[in-house]
Amino acid sequence: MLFYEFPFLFFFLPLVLLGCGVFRGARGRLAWLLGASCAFYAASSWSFLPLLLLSTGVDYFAAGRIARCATPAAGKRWLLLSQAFNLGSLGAFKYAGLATGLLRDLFGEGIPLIDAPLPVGISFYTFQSMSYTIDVYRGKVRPARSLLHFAAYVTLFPQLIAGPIVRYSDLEASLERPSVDALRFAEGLQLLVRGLVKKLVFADTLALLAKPLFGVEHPGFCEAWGSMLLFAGQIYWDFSGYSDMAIGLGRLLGFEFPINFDSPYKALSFSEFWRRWHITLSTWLRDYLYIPLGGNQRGESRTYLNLGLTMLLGGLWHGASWNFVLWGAAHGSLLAVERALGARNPLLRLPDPLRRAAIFAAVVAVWVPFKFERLDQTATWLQAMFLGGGGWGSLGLLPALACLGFLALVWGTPNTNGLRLEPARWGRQALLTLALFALSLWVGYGRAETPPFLYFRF
Amino acid sequence: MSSTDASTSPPPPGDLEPADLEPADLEPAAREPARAESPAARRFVGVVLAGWLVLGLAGVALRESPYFRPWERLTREDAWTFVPGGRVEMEARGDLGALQGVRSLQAPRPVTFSVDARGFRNPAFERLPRVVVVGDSYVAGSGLSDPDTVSARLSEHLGEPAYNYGLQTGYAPLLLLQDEAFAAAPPRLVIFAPVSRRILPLPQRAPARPKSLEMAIWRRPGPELSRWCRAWQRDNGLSGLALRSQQELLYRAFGLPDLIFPEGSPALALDLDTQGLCVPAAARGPEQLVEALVWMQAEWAKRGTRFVFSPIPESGTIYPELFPPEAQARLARPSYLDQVLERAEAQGVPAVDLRPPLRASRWPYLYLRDDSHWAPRAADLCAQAWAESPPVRAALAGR
Repeated sequence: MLFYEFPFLFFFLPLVLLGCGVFRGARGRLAWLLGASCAFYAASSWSFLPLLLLSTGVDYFAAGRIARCATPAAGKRWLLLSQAFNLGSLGAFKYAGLATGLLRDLFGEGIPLIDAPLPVGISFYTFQSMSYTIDVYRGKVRPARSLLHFAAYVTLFPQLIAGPIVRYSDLEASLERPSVDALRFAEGLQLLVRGLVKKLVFADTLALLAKPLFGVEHPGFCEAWGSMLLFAGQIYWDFSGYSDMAIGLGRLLGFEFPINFDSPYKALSFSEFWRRWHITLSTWLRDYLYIPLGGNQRGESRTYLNLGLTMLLGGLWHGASWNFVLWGAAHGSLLAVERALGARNPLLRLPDPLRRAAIFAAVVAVWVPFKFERLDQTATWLQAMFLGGGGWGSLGLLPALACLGFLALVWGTPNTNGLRLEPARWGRQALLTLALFALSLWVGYGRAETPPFLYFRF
Repeated sequence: MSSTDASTSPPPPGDLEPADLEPADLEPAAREPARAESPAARRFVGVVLAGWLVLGLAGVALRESPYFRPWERLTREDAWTFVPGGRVEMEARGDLGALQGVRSLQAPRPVTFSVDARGFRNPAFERLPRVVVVGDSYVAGSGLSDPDTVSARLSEHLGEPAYNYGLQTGYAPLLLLQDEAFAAAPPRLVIFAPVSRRILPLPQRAPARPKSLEMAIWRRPGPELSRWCRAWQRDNGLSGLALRSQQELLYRAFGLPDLIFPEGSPALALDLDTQGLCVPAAARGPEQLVEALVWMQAEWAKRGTRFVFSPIPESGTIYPELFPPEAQARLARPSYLDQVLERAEAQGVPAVDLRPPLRASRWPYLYLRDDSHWAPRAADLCAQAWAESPPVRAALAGR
């Protein structure tokens, strides 16, 4: 059950909102949301619901013990237990295939290959649970009041499957006393519809146009760059559309999630790109990996090592395959080079539009290993993009127009994170919201097959 | 907020530098001071929710019959058989026409679809017939009425009942071998008639299937919920409206790639790639298939049953000239059917080639115009060819 699907929009969501209206008390409401979230998860991944609930129980229990420990050393044991469970389940379900494949390559066919199915959303909910126990250990948050509170936080359906990665501190107050008012509800509806437009109208249309280009065996320059531009648009609108929907749904239920995207393709540097792209992941990696490793406080060489390691693991978080490692390594290298150059960076001398275009072009090129699982395909595409291996090639009118439209939208329109309901123009905004809702359903539902959200794989 | 004014906006929260870490940056908007309740917001919510409700009701009210084909209404997806004792009489639309969504290319026709107590498309036989036709959707008769199925036509031509063991799975011949009823009363003759694109190497045992659908629902509410969601996503009224209007627009603006024109009128057909006709014959593993056929023949021989192999040709085999020239150029020669039939006969598996009788009577068009399956006349021609073929006559001789 995906956010844009008919059963979700017209059966599940109204039922959940109705239930929230009926159960006014905090506990009843949380219990209702927990039940609804479990049903939502079961519709996608029934067999892994026990794992989700077990993970929730382990972290709740561990955090409770940490809080009761008199010394940090005593609490550390429970923290390690919780982290071992979280990383163990992530490793077993997500990385065992990659690890055993590597061992087989090294030591031969005697090593059994583990190919476990990936539980939906495991990368997201595991990171959320990990941040909770670490924050309790660090004394940044109090342990959850009850298992119900914590389970409702972990499983809350708008963010359960593909983020944003919400921390307990973000929701602590709302779990106790959700802040639902007409204004937030209206803005939640606007965000939900904006996300639908991004996903169904923009992202999926670009995916449709890019598909034949990715099928070309020997791409030329135009095909390679065109397809990657379309992919850059697809992945951005797909994921930021999902995030908008999640944040909007959160508001409908009285929760406020952090933003996840902030016009990333307008970035003027690679570090700025990472402050604008998948913000909740990059801040998670910063707070729970980079800083504990020492950040930039332990000398230059250690800083580069920390940076590289953080980006490598960030790449690996996206999937257990070498292409994601390569993608993370490429971004880590770009950040390192940018840091090493400092004020000598030649890009700093360029006017902003050119600088933005240069950073964007590099980001698009680095999407190549993200897109292709096979390294030979990555090599073919990069060769066509930079070495002219396949000649000029041709793009076709519609993909070319889509590329131009994508660039015009991401560079030429204002950031929409600050959009609010304007009371004086409520009527026009309501009609526009409804029109965009109907348009996105017409475009999306008319397709024989709508690709699921890309980040569901991670 | 564009990136150029980023310096005037609050610092973004995603930096990797701890020096820039300001806890205040990470505070969610929930900590913003509460804004006054606005009557305009209430009105906005009222109007949007009213529109939402109208769209939802339209999606429910305009939903066409749960499945557009009787075939699908009676299919038990997880068990492969049909709903036991099921019967549907309705205006059936072809699978390609329904999927394509262009109304003017659809050719609805009245269809009766009856299923016996065992979940197969047969009348209620008092005892199991001596002749069984096993295959996929062509044998089961997708798009056809009960009297037009190939088994019903074969019954007419033979003058004795023939059992329809057509299922929407390539495992049908294995399920038949594992079928306890036919183990207790082995048939005299089994005709294995898969459509040519579904002739695939088979394992020697089909996966287990649930004995009762109701038990499956009880045991697996998650998958059932997931299936219910998929069905509503596919078949709600808004999807139907959107698909039809978009496809009609596209059809009028650009035409359709899968359209062919037998006898001058449009028909939808599977492209030659999907029919498996552009795949080189060797790539489809004819050796493994023939091995499987030899094994099946031996298994049936142990029960005293004769086994006949008779693959069903698709439209691309009978009417290659109707398809785009670039696809025709890729047609593999010699064809997969040629190779499979030659090898089967060389290994002693009796085979009936259905191409000659179909090619000899190729007009009127032998396939449904909005469906990927054959028309009643093609099923009848094939049944007649089987009834008159030496292996079938030999198997039933001396009855």
